[in-house]
Amino acid sequence: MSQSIQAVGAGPVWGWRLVAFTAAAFVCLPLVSTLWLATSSTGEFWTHLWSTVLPRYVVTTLELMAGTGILTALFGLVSAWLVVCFDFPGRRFFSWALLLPFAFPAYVIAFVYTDFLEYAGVFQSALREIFGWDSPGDYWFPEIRSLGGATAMFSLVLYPYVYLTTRAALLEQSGNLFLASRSLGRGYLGTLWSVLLPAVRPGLAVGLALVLMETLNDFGTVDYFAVQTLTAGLFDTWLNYGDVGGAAQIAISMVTFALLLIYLEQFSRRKVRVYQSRTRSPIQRARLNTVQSAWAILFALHW
Amino acid sequence: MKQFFKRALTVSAAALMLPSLQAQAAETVNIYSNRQPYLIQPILNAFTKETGIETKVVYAKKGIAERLAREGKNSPADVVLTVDIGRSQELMDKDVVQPIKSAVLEKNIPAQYRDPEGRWFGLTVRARAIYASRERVKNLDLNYEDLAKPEFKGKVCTRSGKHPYNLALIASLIAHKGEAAAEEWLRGVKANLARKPQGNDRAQVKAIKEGICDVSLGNSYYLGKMLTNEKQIEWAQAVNIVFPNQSNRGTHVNISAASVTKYAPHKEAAVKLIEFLSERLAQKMYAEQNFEYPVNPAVEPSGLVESWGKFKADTLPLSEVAKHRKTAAKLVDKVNFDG
Ligand SMILES: [Fe+2]
Repeated sequence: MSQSIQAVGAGPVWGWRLVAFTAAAFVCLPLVSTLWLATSSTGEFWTHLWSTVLPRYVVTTLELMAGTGILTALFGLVSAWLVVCFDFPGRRFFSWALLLPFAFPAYVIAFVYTDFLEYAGVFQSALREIFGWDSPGDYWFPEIRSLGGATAMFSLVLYPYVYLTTRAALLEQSGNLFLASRSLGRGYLGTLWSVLLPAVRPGLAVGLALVLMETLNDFGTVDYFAVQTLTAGLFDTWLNYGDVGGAAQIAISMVTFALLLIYLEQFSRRKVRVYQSRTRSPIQRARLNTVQSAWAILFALHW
Repeated sequence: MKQFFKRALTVSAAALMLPSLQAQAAETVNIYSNRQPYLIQPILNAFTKETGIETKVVYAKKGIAERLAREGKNSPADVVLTVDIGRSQELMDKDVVQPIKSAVLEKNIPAQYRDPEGRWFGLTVRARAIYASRERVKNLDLNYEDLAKPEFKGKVCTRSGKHPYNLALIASLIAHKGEAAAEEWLRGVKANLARKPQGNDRAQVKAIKEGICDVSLGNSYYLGKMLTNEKQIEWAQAVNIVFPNQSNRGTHVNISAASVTKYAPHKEAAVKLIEFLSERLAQKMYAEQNFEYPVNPAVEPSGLVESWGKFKADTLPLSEVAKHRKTAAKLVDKVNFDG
């Protein structure tokens, strides 16, 4: 009897394994071919790059990732917290509208914002009109095509990753936890920081990891913003120095860095246990008063 | 029974398709192109009309040389249409093109604009011009060297030093004056920049219009493109086009070019196509459509381009320029030009 069950079970399991294996192999193909390409370069260009622009590329990349990481974490977490834990007019609308930036590639949004905010754009033109300035020397305005601009752009486009994963994690939490903390006298922000944050940290980390990898691998947006990250070095090595193998080596370094990030994240929470009560009671949404609601809506509408 | 019919149908369809593909292949030339469809397609249509040879184009912005190298003998490509001498050089470095001898091409294309061994042939010529504010720059007798002089401090705009157009210009400086002088020049220009290198050639002219800078580097045909663009015409009207170094070596020029691939399955048709591209009809179409200079001296540029006046082009063979391209890229890194 048990044999026949096994026999019946074995077929599909093997089938699925084959499917999974094929899929995995297919996904790994680019990685393997990149590794293969990387062996084709002697790597002599590294000396030149290291002694010239590479340190700058690395620093810029880290700055961009740090900035984008902090902003997306903040915005993703707070917006998820608002739509899960509170009730205010438009909450239902925002709970899906906050995902909308997903529909646009970062560089498209970059085009739109730059067009609006640059010197000849609508915004600065209006300022000049109002204040009677007529040349760039007359006033100061932040440079849109800069590291800061790129960070803002990535944050605007990528925060939904954090929002999505954090919201899912928050919805998993027991309302009792929330209530207990509140009844012990902690405020909303205190509860968010010391009770909810540790509980949703795994979800937030997953979202954040995705954000950072997207930032790391982007070329279009950073190129448009004249911000040189490692991808600039990669294309440069490939197209201007004609060294595909070298470009592949840079790519491998970037993949390694991404893997390191994931590992660090997992390592850092090896002792954290996430409790989930069996009898889950959903979080009771707290009603916000008018002023609070206005703030919440303003926040959700983007800065 | 139904199954049988279905299968028979599939098999016979497949059998029919094979010879038809081959028949088609005999009269087709396959093209990998850096150049954009709006420019190439009308010319290719004219070619098909005249010769009966069909064309098939794969458009790609980057990476054609790699692709050819990867495909090797199995590549379907016959002709590569590239922009910039650097890309042509890359095709030779990767050993994916072959030498061609053609009396027509040698007659139509001046020697300086083709590879001595026939591995690339220039089809159009563009000048690397200086755009100067009509309002703020009065002396139009300019040299590239002037862009590095203190009088232009904070007044120069350019796209990335790593862009092929600028790399070729720097390479030509290396060829003429040596590496040290080119480095000196790069440092000087960097010190004069009004802003970090960004955007394309047209964006610099826009910046001149906005008062951000007074002079910029840009390819000549962009003036024609801006003048015929409703939104950009006001940028173009804010500048004069200057052909630099007229009293000495001449203005640096670059080309768009064609090559026959190493393993071209339809070599004969490929050569025919390139010859066609060097003849009057195609040259005229290039000139009118994209405001470039025809490489064929017997063909005149478009009326608009002619109105900018004649200029003296640097006679340094482009194959010499191509040799210094990697050094140019290294110099750009060394002086941290884009940073
Ligand atoms: Fe161009």
